[in-house]
Amino acid sequence: MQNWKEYSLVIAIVLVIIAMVLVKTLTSGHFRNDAEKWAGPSFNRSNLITAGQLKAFTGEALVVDVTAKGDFLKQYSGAISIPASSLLDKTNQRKLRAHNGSIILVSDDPALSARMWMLLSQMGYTHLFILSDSSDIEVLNYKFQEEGVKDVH
Amino acid sequence: MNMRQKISVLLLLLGLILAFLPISGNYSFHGKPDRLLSEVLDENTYFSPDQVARFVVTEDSTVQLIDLRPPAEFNSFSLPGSINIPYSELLSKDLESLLNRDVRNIFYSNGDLDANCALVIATGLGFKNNYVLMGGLNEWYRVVMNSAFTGERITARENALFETRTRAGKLFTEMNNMPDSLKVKYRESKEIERKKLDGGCE
Repeated sequence: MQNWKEYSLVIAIVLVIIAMVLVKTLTSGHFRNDAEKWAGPSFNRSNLITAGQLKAFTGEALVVDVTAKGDFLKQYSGAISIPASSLLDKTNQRKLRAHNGSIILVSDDPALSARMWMLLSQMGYTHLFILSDSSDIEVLNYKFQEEGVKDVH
Repeated sequence: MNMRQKISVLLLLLGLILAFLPISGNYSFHGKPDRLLSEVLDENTYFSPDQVARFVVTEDSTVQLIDLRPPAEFNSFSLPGSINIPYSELLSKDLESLLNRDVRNIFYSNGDLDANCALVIATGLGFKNNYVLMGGLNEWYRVVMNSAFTGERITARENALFETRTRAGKLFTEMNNMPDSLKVKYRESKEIERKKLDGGCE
């Protein structure tokens, strides 16, 4: 009993530290450590999914339209609209976290989809994809030649 | 306080520091997601091919073009004055020396995917003045390299745009037609100029 009293301050500090670590680890509204790990799927394009692949998708997929006006809602059954500017609102974050499956971001602007993908991925979202017209949207459609430019498509 | 208590306090302080340090030595995003979201939704983080053409023609020293494609594609051709940071290696490079400079970093790739991901990464890691070439090299080719005037009359503005595109296109073709050895020397001379502007040594 005497020892407990001696170390009560130390025990109190340990408990506070443990509580702070648990809060930091378990709360979802912050960035995860190791940006390279969370950016990984974008390095090998495994974060892209085409419409054809989406149709063949067997798992639970939630299509999230990140455009301002929900332009794609009618195209995809069960799609929800979360404009990019509202993506981090608590209600929307709860909807995304509650989904037990893949989340597919769709937009008419590949730049916007890419930015939202990276932001959410760094917040710890996994099974997160960008809906793309083709499996590799980084293909160059032209060929450099000495005489100028040739369109290869 | 006796020795046992002092050691306990020291261990606790060490534990506190270790508990909040990142587990790996790798880069991690800073700050709050809300703030990063507003920064990456800023429409002023895009440059059009015409704007980049002007930077190329004037050799604007306040701009750093960053080619995110693999080295083989970069060595085949690139925008004049670019440096190469392959996207897949972005987070394993010494970004402090590459991005932490008082210039505007303009990321580009063939399309929009890699450049915009790179912008979010650079901004999330705390680097400032990050931009992308809208549409990437595909848009550069469409707007600048394939520029042609059709019509009977041209306005002064259209004429200025057309001239800049033509000059940028010529510079692009000339630079990329150089033999590899000359290309390397050209890039090295650009790097030396850059370091001089930064106040570094040759």
